[in-house]
This record gives sequence, structure tokens and C-alpha cells, in this order.
Amino acid sequence: MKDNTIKILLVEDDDVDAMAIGRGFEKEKIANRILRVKDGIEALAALRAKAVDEEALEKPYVVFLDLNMPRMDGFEFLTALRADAALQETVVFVLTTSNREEDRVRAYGHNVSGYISKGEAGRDFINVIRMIDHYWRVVELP
Amino acid sequence: MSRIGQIEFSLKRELYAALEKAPAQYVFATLLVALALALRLAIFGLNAGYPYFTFYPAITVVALTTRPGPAIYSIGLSGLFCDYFFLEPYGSLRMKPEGLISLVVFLVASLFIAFCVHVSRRGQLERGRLAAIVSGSDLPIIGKTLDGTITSWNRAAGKLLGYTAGEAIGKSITLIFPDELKAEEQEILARVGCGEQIVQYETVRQRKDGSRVEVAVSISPVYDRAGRIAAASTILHDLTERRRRQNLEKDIKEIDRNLSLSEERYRSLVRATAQIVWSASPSGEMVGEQPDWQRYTGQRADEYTGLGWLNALHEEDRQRVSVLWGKAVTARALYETEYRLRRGDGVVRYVAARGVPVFENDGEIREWVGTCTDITHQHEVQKKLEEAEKRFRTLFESSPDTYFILEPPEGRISDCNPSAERLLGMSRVELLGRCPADLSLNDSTDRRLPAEATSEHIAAALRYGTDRFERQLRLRDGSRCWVDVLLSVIRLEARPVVLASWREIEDRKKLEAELERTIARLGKSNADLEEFAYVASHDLRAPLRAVQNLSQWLEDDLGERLPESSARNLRLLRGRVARMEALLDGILAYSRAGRVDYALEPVDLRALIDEMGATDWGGRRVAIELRRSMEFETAAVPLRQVVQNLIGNAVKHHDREAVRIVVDVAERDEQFEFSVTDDGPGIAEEYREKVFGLFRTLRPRDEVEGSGIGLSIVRKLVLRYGGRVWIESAAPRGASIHFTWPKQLSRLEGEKE
Repeated sequence: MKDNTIKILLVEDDDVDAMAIGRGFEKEKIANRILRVKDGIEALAALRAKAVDEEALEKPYVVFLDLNMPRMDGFEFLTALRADAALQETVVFVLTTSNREEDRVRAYGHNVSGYISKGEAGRDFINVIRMIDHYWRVVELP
Repeated sequence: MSRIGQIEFSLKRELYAALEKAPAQYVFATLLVALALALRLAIFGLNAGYPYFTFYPAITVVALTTRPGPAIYSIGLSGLFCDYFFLEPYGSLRMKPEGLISLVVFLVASLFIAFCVHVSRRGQLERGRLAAIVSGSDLPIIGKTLDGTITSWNRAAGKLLGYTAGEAIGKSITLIFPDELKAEEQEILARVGCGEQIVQYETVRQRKDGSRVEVAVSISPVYDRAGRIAAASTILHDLTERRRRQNLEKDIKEIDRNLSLSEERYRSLVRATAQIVWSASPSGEMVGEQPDWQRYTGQRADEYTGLGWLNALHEEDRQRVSVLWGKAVTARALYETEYRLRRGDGVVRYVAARGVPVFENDGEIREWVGTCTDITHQHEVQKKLEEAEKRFRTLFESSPDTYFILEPPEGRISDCNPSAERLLGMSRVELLGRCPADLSLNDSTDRRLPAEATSEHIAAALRYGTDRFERQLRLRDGSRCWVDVLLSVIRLEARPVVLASWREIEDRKKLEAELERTIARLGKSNADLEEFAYVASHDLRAPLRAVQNLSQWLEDDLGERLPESSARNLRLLRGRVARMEALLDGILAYSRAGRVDYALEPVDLRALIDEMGATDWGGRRVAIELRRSMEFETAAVPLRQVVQNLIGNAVKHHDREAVRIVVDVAERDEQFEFSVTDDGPGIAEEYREKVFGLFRTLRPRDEVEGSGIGLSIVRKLVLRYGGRVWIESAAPRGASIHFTWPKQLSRLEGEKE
């Protein structure tokens, strides 16, 4: 049976941040499945080999990407992703604590769909979650 | 005058000479009369009628041979004898009337005869003397008739013209005329015929041999007894000699004139260069008039005469000049010296004196002549030059800097100073003739060979007057040394040479290298700090957010079950987390301030103030007044940030509800001076510097939430753009923060880090 709901690959090394997203989704009653990995290497492995969960990464899916991570950071991951013919069309949202102009410009340079500053965690973050929810209800993903 | 006349004259000469004396003539007259008486008595006796016949011949002879005195005496004596011997009564001087008449007749007749004889004889004498004069004259004299036939021709005429008297007499006078002048004769004869005398008429006559002779002709008419013009006499003056003399005189005059002209010229020439022309006797004494010397020195003739002229010299020079002059006079050689000469007005001048002997033909010295030339000016110039040279030499020798004199074009060393010897460890002798290029290392930044580079630098110096560059030397001991080289073109002995000044800059080079390293380190350290600030703020933020989230979740999950005190503690916890985040933001903002180069764009203060006035200041009434505005182009973003920070700061620290802020701007020379003045509590004097420090606040953060970073960023930005910032007190209360901002922000300034 084909699951057409949008799945989420959350690339985030910080457990609390990952929890925050989980709690946010839960609070907003968003039932989309979330697969969490801790850095770019794990993320690429998940996307390519589907090793972690056979069903987890059936399309359609989006990637929530943190920038600062051990081993392979967000930019290195984006570079690898866009260089991979099978994966280059992947929809990626950058979800980061960095407010740096350079980071933002650089991220959009990798064709990300959105650059979302985690900003002050908490209330604002709920708005972000809602926005994402609306997004994938409207947008047709590849 | 005929030849017969000449002979006659010579025969009678002796007799005439004898009868010259008067007493002899009287004796002669007496004797002749006595002879006539004796003859009468002997022939006719005492009474023989008319007695006078025999006395006539005696009287005639006396008259012929003597002067009138003895002739009259002989007539008287004859009358006495006749009366005494032959008139009745005989034997006495008495007589009858018939006798008296006959005697008177006799006396008258005798006197007449004597007169006639005398006149005739005198004419003869005259003619004879004339002939003698003519024939003996050195002047050629020619007699001729009025029809031009030559009647007399003296020896001088023959000598001049080549014809003898025999050849000439009887011929026409045209014999001696050149062909073209033959017509002249007619005219001359005509004029003479009219009684005119022609004097010194200059013409040309022809000799027998055909050659011509220049003559002056004088022609006089000759009168006959009746007073008619019968002939003409011609006197010729040979002009050849006179012409020669005339020419000679002319030549002498010309030479004289030239000589005086040339002397005049020479004298003028000497005067033009020399102030004094003098002369001296062969023995070396000044004699006679010396007008130049007198005029110049003011010495009188009696003062300078002899060796008195030496007294006009400066006393220190007298002895020397006197000896020199003596030597020159003795050696008869050029005298040449310089001395100080006291002028008439007392001023001492330097003069150059020269003198030469003038020799006679026999080799004796006629006199000495010489000049004195005022050389004071040259002397002074020379002295100054020498002093300058000495000064230059002293500087050159004692300078701690290294100097070389280089000869263009390749730059061989022609001189150097002791400092050069010390620096290079080579002696002057070793250095001369070498090129600086021999001592240089190949310049690593310059592909040219040292010799080529040296030539180019020298060429540049010659073209632009100076050139400057740095060069690394290889010293004799193998060590290396940097020098700063300054080339400048100077003139030595009227040709351009290059003065190279080397200054050792090894220390400076080391410092420069050190500085470069420090700058690099500093840049690196700044970048590290930047990175650190960013990473720190980012990495510190993550756990903070976790604390934030977790505390929030605790509150959410526990909800009503959470005791009130715990709930307050959780709020405080989150408040501190927020402050921590604000501090991290401050660090980040400070580290980034001024780091980016902003484009130049027009700044609009009015819009900025309006925008800030409209901001929600947490319910406080904020009035911002822009007193003067200034529109100009600058890095607008940082300027806006500064103004924004200052206004925000003023509002944040204000102690009242109503806030009034005045923004002003004034033009200072090259900068604008901005001020932001509030009516808040003001800033005490002692804190005016401190408040610009990082994280400095004057009140606890629990009272006024502030990062303490606003003014730090203001100062960082203002300094970054070349301005300064300071705080003044505002009246009646409040603080006035001033800062300056450049009017012109060059791109270079904007780009520098």
C-alpha cells in the first residue's frame, strides 16, 4: 500500500531541538512521520540506502536541515545532495539558529525551499510548524 | 747770350777784378789823363788851337773801365789841364770867355760820352753775369723766341732732357714736348706774348730717349731794349724728386696716422679691461705722468714717483710685491702678481698687476708698461667658492650617511666619504672606479641585473633631478644590508654628476618586516576573534535554547500542578536566558560592526528621524527634533546605525515618561559634527569615558534591560570611519553625545580594514 502522506527527514544533532519539533508537531496534531538523523552522513545514507526504514523514505518527503552539525554539516550535505542525480530535486528546509547573512545566502545558493531561523524557541516555533503544515497541504511535491 | 759774349766776358774778367778797388781806379784815371796831356804836349806843343781831342779817348777809357766817380774825376782833371795848359792866358787857370765856352762844351760833351760809355758797359756786365748764372744754374733754363725757336740751352737742361746745346739751339721748342701736348706750346707762347708770366705750371716733357719727365714750368717774357717782348725764357723744375719726396711724406703721414690710430685702439682695449695703465723706467721706477694710477690711488706725482707707488699697496703686500717687481726688472721678464691696492676713497681693492718690458732695437729696455685690473669681484667669488667647497667637503667627510659621487652614465664611483668606507669595509682607493652595481645583490623583486638597474636609476636622476629606491648590498664579509638610496644630480666642475646618498635601513627593514608580521598576526587574530565571537554566540545559543525549551515544557507539562514559587523561578530562569541571548547578540553585533564595507549612498537624516519618531517606545512619549539636516553621500548604513543607537540609548536610559531628543549637525573643516542631545538624567563626568566600554551599563540590568553594547558599537563605527565621539552635558539636564563624521569618504578609506 502506497503511503502518500509527506514524510519528514529531520537532520538535527541537538536532541532538545529535535524534541522541540516533535512536541510542536504533536501539539499541532500533525501526524506526518518524522525520521530523525544526527548529521549529513546519516542523512545521505538514509536517503540513498533506505537502510534505516524501508518505508520511511518513500516519496513524497521533505528534509529539515540544521546547519551546524558534527562530521558533515548542513552545507556539506547540501553540496553532496545537489551533486547526486537521484537526490538533487529533494525539497530542503534549512532550520537553524544562525542569523548570519552569509549562511542564508549560501543556503539559498543550494536551492533550499526555505531558510527558517529557529530564533527564540517556543511560541514562534509553533508558527513555523503551522507554516510547514500548510505548505505541504498546498504544494505538490516531486 | 752768344758764345762770343761768354768768351769776351772771360777775357775781361781779370782786368775787371784788378779795377775793383776804388783807389786803384783813381790812380788809373789820373795816369790816363796825364798820358793824354803828355801826348798833346808831345804832338802839338802848348799852343795848338783846340786842345780837347786827345782827352776824349782817355775819358772814354776811364768811363769804360771804372765806376762813375773816377770817370767824373778824369773829366774834371782833363778840364783843369786844358784850362791850365791850352787856354789863354796859358799857365794859369784863368781864361777868356771864348775859352770858357769851349771848356764848358768840352765838359758837357765828356760827361755825355762818359755817361753813354758807362750805361753801355753796365748793360754788358749785366748780360755777362746773367749768362754766367744761366749757364752755371742747376735748373734747366731754355731761351726761346716768341715763335718757339730755342735760342739758349744750359747744361742742366741738357742733363734733364738729354739734348746738348748744339742739338737743341735753333730747333723748335716742341722738340721736348710729348706728341699729345704739342698744342700746349701755342697757348703758352700766346700768353707769354701778352706779357703774362707762367709760374710753376706742372706738365710733362719728353726726353731725347723718348722717356717722359714730370716738370713744373715757369716761363717769363724777355724784353728787348725798347721794352718790347722779344723772347721767352723757360725754367724747368724736375718734379721726379719732389714727387718722390711728396709720396714719401704721404706714406710717412699715413704710417703715422695708422700708428696713432692703432695705439689709440690698443690703449682703449687695455682701458676696457684694466683700470690702470702704467709705465716705468727701465730701472723699474715710476716716472712722469701716470694719470691712471693717480686717478685710481689718489697718489700725487711726487708720492708715486720712484718706488713710492708701493705705498698705495696694502702694507702686508708691499714687501712681497716689491721683491717680485725687483726680480722681474732684473730678469727683464714678465711681471705678474695680485695685491690689495688702496683706492683714493680708502677702499681696498684686489687688483691683478701685469707688466712687460718694451725693448729698443738694440735690445735695451726702453721702458716698462703694465696694467692693473680690479679683480675684487672675482676674488670674492673665488673666496666664497672655496668656503663653499670647504663646507661641502666637511659635510661630505663627516656625515654619518654614506655618500658617493657617481659618474654618468654607468655610475663609476669618483669619490666617496669615510662613512662609505666604514659601511662597505673597503678603502676609498678600492672603491674608486667601481660601480655600486658590483656591490649590490640581485633584487628579487626586480628582474633587472644590478648594473642595468643602476644605469636606469642614474638616467632617471639625470632626467628628473633625483631618484630614490632601496637596494640590498652584499658586504665584503658576506653579510647583507639594506640601504635607502637617494640620487640627486649636482654640478661638479661644470658637468653633471650624481650624488648618491646611502642610508643604512637594515633596522628599518627589520622593523618593517616585523610590522608586516605583526599586521598579519593581528589580522589573523582579528579573524579568529570574529570567528570565535560568531561560533561562541552560536554555540552558546543552542544550549540556551534547550534550557529555554525545557523550562517552557516543564511549565507546560506541569501546568496547574506547579507551585507558584517554582513557576516564578522558571520565569526568572527564562528571563536570565533571554538576557544571555541579548548579550550574545551584542557580542555578535559588536564583532561585526564596521567589518563590512558599505557602498556610498546619500544619507537622509530626515527620513531616519521620522522613522525613529514613529517607533513604538513601549508607550513612552518620545519627541525627536532634527535641528539641521545635512544631505551627503557616505557609508549610510553605519551612520544610520550610529544615530539609531544613540537615540535608542537616550530613550532607554531616560528617567521620565516624556522624552525629548534633539539631533543636530554642523559643518567643521573636513567633517560634520553630529550631536544627539537628550533631557534625561545625564552622564556624570567620571563615567563619560567608561560608558563606551563593552558591556558597560550604569544601572543594574534588572532595572534597565540593556546589553551595554550600544555605545561600544557607536565608538567602534565612528573610529572606523575616522571620526571621534565624546560626551558633553546638556542644559538644563541631560547628556549630549557628539561625534564627527568625514564629509568625504574615499573608497580607499571605506575599503580599509
